[in-house]
Amino acid sequence: MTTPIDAMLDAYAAEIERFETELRPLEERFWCRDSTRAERAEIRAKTDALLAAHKAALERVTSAESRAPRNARRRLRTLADNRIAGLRSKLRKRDDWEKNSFAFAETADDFVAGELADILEPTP
Amino acid sequence: MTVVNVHVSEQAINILSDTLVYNGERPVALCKTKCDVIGDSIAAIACRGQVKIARMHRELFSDIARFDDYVGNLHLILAEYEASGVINEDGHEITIAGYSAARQRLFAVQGVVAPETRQVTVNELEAGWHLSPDLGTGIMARVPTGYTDDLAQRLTLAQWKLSQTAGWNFCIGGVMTLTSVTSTTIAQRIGSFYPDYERHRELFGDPNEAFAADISTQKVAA
Repeated sequence: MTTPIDAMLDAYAAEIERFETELRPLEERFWCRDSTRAERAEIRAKTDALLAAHKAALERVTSAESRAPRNARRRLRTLADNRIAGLRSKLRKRDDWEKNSFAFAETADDFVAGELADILEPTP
Repeated sequence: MTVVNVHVSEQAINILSDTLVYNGERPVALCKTKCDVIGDSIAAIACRGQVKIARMHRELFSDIARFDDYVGNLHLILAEYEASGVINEDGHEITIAGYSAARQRLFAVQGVVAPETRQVTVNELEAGWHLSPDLGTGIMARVPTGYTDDLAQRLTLAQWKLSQTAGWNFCIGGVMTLTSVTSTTIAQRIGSFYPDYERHRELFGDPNEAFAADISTQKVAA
């Protein structure tokens, strides 16, 4: 039998999955080496809207509506608050991060490939 | 972010880990090892994340003692740790490797409490390399499949250098401890040290200092 705690955790995980699924293509495009400044500004605006909706959804999941015990709700709400704060901070730092060439996956791969050039096998 | 690199084969499971201990994002100490040989079975565990959770595993593993029993209960153990609220927002990862009497072979699993979804997963580690933090699928597809100590050390130096160069400041440092698990034995040794080892040794001291000095002497002598 599904308890209110199980149902709340399932809903929490489903909301995170939904958010990540929507965010992923935006982030992938953002960090592509050939993305333009205008594109990245547009992605920032879309990401902000997604994050606001995500915050509201997590608040709903951890509200009294879930009928889960207060302690469990409070704990999950704390995790949700930390998550939102972490995501906000990450997005705020993105402007600085963007200046770091290693923010782009290709650059990291190129770097590691250079470091391990004598041991890596040819690209399959 | 601790290094736990595992290589699995039929003959042996090799684990490389670092020894830098951190609090939040700040290094605070060097420890003897992050890969513990414990229990009455041939088994070793290595954790990433909070030190206190690693200690809880060590104590519980010592009580349960048998590798197969611990692995069999790992999902439940992690779910209980998660439900009790002791695992912080960074989540938790544990690798357990040993000889499974029930399966009559070497066996390694990785248990994870995902930082965001809080979901618990326990999966067997298949043959080959499993690097944490990983170097990306593109690079890993090109890493030779066989194990050597030298290759293990080169890979972790690449992890360290990438972190340093990119400014990520992952907490990787100290010495590289190498743990080899076979069906009959576990051997643990120090392979080498990370390039900023001296700085951390001067700041915190090092329980492996004598061994690290041996490596240094050998390197000078070679």
